[in-house]
Amino acid sequence: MKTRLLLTLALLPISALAQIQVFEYNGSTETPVNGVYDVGSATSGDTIPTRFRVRNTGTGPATLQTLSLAGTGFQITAAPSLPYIIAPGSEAEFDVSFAPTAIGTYSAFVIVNTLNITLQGHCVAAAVLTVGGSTALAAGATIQFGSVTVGQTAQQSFTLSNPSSTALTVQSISVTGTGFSGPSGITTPVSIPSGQSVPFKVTFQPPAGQADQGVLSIDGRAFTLTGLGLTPSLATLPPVTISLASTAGASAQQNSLSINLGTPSQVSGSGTVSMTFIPSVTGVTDDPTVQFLSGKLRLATVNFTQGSSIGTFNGQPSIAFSTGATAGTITFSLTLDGQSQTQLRSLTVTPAPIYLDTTTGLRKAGELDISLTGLDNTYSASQMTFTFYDLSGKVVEPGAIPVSAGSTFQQYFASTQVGGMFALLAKFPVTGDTTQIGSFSMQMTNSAGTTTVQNVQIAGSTPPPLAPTSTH
Amino acid sequence: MKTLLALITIAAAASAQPAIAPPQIGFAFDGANSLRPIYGIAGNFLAGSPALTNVVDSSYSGSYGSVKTDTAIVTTNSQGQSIATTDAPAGPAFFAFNNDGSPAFAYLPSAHLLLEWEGTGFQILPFNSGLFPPDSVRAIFAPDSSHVGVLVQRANGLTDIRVPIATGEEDSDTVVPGVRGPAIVLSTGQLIYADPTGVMLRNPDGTEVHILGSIPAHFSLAQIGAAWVQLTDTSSGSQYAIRVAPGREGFYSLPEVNP
Repeated sequence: MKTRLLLTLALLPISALAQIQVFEYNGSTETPVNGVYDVGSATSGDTIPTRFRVRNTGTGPATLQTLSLAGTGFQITAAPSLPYIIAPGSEAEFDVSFAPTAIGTYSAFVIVNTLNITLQGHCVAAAVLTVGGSTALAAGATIQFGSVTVGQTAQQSFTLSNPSSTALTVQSISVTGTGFSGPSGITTPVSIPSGQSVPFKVTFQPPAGQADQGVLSIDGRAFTLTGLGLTPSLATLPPVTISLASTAGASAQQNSLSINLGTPSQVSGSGTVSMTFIPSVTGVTDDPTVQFLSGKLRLATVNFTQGSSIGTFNGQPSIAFSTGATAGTITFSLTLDGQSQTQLRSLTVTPAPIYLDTTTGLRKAGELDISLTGLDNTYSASQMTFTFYDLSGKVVEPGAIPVSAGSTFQQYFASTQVGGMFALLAKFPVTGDTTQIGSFSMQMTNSAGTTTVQNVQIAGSTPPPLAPTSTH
Repeated sequence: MKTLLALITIAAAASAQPAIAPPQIGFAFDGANSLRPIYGIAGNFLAGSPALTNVVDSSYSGSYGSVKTDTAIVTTNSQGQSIATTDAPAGPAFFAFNNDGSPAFAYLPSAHLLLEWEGTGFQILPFNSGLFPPDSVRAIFAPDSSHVGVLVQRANGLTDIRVPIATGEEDSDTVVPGVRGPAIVLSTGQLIYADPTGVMLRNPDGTEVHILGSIPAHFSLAQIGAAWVQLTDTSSGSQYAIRVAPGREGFYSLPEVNP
């Protein structure tokens, strides 16, 4: 009984050792390693790390008790403390780095319990790789392309340099991995004279909102490429510009607003354009005639369609608005849905002398009726002067007739809902034959200046319509 | 002459302070069954509260308005207030004014009836109903005190048919060259029609003035003031105002009415 027990104890380690297997592990995939494993090519200064896994493929626990490496250029950089018991189906991991110092082929022997593995590596004369003016990149280095919106591209500019005293030939350059493409700007094989360099580019165009990884391989030297694809959203709209068809800041103008993107939108969405008006006239708080001409008075929805570089308003590329009849500042504010930031565009309507849209003189028995329509965007109309002329053009007595209308205008402007627009009717009693009066001229003054209208013909005595019809 | 001038004297001041009110270009059908005053001056408009509702068609000369409702023709004064009502069958209507802005004629295509203004209301004006089919009529107008003018769309173009009030028979029949689609004739004799780039005003002497504007594919025209015509996009409902005053012509957007 005692003898059999000792035999069993002696056989147990042998049984356990037979259960392990070595794999190369790239972070996602295990590849069995049997006999010889080539870690790849490097140049002096490069370090190629390789991860190995010792997996227990048996049904009972296995003990990793021997792990050693002998050879130049290789070294174990990470390993578990030995002895290390590996549960069935589980694994232990160790890392080996290859860092050659001179051109040639390197080998090393790794012993894992009773398994013998030969590692090989190659040190080659290689061009020095830099990106964006950085320091030389060692094989295995990671080049980041950053975050890129789907539909957009990011590009990195690389340089291959030959610091050696003899010409160097790069046989192959390849780019693999989802979203990565290239190289562009270079054709291999390419000979790089001593001291010279050649550029090339690699492009990242993510196909989806996800992290992507690729490999840039230069004569077997591998460099990791990483990038992050971003799902497009309104936040990724190109810069937005609020444009006005006219930047002239005048009253009673029909203008239009459009939203322009610098480049076609990568995403569909919408936003809101709101209009505010701040009068510069003391005591005036608003002018309802400052308004969009379609939809809501001061609010408009703008839509962005993927692939289009303009916003649309109810299917139209612009929305019309009227500048009103009051001096002040019109401000448009664009807010994209889901965003708090707004973009502003202002249009200043400057104070102006009174604008007369129509001037009409009507001859009646015993009087002359003078009708005007116009606007005073300063709300400060005051003095008016009328001069009448007979049919021969001579001034009719008593000459210039002043009319102080300031208080009447002030009362009107205090209650009107049409901004600074007005229709004025002035009646002038006449002694004598009114048919001999042929025309008139007039002046109107406000705080911004004086408006003069001359040679307004006086019409006959047909019944006057309500709305002024004759124009000057 | 010297003696005559000496008799003319204008008072040294206006008889009173001038009267000031909001300017108004006229009354317009808002596309939502209401007739509204349109305040403002060229380029800056404001639609007022409805003056009439249940409106089907309307026209306003500046002095009077003719409004077709579901059941009647309402004649309004310059303020948009009703001054007469004439019973009428359902459907649209065409209106014409005299040169002084007073109502002249109405045509009701649904009943193929021609009506004449008699001072207190419209009365049926007998005419030869075979002169034109109702659906071919584009506009009516009052070319003079004794005729009704009817613009009819025929295969060979827009045709101006003159019908004497006294007989109701055709007096003349003239193709209007170069005009297709909606058109109206104002009491001034101006023919208003559109081309692909805007609106054309053809004066009685044959001269034309072109006003640049964005003309929709489908539209209608109606007079809304003494010197103003409304163009309505019958697809989108968008409305425009055309100023036809000589020398001051223009094409403007009317603000959309927000009920």
